[in-house]
Amino acid sequence: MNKILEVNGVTGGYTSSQTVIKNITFDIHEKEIVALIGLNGAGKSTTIKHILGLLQPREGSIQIAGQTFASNPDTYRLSYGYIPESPIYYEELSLWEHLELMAMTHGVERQLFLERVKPLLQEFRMEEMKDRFPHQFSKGMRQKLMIMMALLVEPRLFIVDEPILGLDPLGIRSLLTWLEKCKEQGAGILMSTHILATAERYCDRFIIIHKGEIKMQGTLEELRQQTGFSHHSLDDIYLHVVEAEDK
Amino acid sequence: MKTDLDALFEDRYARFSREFIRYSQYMANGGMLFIAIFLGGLIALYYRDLIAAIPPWFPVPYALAFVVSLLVTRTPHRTFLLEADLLFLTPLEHRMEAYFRKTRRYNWMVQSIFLFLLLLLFFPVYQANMQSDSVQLWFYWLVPIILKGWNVHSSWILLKLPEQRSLTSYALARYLFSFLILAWVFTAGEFLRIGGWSLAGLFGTVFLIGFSIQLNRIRKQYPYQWYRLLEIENRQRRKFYRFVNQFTDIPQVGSRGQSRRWLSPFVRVVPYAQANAGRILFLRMFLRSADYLGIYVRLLVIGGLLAVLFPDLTAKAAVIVMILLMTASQIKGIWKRQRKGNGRILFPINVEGQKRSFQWVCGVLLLIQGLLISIMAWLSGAGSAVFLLFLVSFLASYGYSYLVLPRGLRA
Repeated sequence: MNKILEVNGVTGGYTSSQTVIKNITFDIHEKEIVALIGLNGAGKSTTIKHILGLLQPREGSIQIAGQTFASNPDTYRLSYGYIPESPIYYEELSLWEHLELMAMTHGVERQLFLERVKPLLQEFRMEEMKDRFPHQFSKGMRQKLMIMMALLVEPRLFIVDEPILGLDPLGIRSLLTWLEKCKEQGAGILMSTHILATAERYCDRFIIIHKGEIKMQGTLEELRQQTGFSHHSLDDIYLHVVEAEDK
Repeated sequence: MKTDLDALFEDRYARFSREFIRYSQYMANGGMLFIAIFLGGLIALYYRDLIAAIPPWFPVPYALAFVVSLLVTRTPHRTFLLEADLLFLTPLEHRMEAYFRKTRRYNWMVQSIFLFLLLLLFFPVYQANMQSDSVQLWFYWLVPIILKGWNVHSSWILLKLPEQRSLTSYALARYLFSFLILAWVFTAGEFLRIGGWSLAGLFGTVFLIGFSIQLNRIRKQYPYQWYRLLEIENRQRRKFYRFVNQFTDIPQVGSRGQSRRWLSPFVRVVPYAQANAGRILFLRMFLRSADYLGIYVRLLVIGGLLAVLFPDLTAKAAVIVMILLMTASQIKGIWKRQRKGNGRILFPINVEGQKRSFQWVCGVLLLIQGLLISIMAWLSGAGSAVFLLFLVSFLASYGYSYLVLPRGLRA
């Protein structure tokens, strides 16, 4: 399976004097969902910001489909779909116009946009909201807008930051089913989350990050072997790793 | 712990005053002020001629009453409330009247300053058309200010009404009453005088009694509409920041989109294409935001009026250039707003592409404004010289957007 995302020995943070993440190394391949799990402040969002090209690594490198941000920022930014933890939107654009502009900036033809957008609006039950503005939405609805924008352009890599918070149960199911469908079609997905039960059910591999460093990574079976917790859940393994580190 | 509401008001007022003084210094140094003064000077130069041109049949007092009543009735209430007050001040609702009495007094004073300026502007018109004695002139200055106080007081009580629609009806009633009184005063009591009876005075008194009874009922019946008060305060605050933002960078600027479906066809003129995404984004930001479009239209109307009124072709051309420059300095706020918000990371449009799109949008908007002002001048009899005005509009729009603007667009 081809590698879509390669993160090699990345060290970085928000300022040059402060290191938030240290020597982070992992890959994401086609047709897999990888969970990035860690406590609040563990470095998940900082890692994601480095991948997005919003922060530059002090050491190490990041490649999406073989390209780095520095080599070509424009095509790099077009190569992923990002679902942020806190919705980002323009006050002046309606839901429909956000989707339309997203398709436009990614070079999706108008006809194709119209074909893709309809089932998305249906799936996330937002058809009646399409002419409304995000400030009229609940937090969950804004989150759905972010999700639909990312799904619409069908990128090869999805970067999903805490996607489940604020979503209603139907929204959560829709998102996860849709991501699984994208995965089947060849996409790679990096999902940062706190909800370990969901991660265990939907993700193929897990990266446990703690205090800015990767403490363990692999499939659930591999994590079980590494910890010796042969029949335990991801929850137990995770708590064990984090508590052992704190001691 | 007991909250000292007097101190709270003093604190909020002092904080805003400090902010206002700081920003006033920036404004005094800005180019906009220079343009406004220049335009003001140009108006002053022609003002006497304009007054002399008013035909004798024109009902000056009624026209004045019509315009002054608009400003007298318009009473946006600044309360200095903050989002967190919904949590902390709502339990003190029964003690808030003292706080709001101070905000009402503040609003009356501030709004009276603008009213005074309007009266000052119209004073020569009024004096030239009415043979007024000194008592009558005192009425000219005092009655609108007193009426403003009454409007601030009554509109505050009306803000308690839960229905937005009834608020509009009451605003219309306040307007009609203000017009009735001002027309009565400006005509020196001649408005609706039949025989020896001054019906305007009579109607006014009856209305005032009825309205006061109604206000008293509303005051007792409903609690404060906190969300509405906060919304008004935020809107006023945003307006202030948006205005100041033209002179200096303000982080607090925000805006709510308004649907304005009827304007959508203008955006659809730009075809759906990857290369046009930036243009469509900036065009929508302009058309949806209350402030940018509002200022654009207001400056267009002012420019059109001046281009019609000024007899001289050079003055008409100067008006176009000045108005376009003023509009340009306002529209530039859209760029700042876009670069500052989180939204800039939402759509992958590179910075150079964004700059080019913004220059294009700016150029088109300025050109349309210049052409419309020229057409208004043409309709008022500028003749074939209108082509010269078209040329001035084109050169000003192009020159600003492609020669001046790029230097001001920072990533």
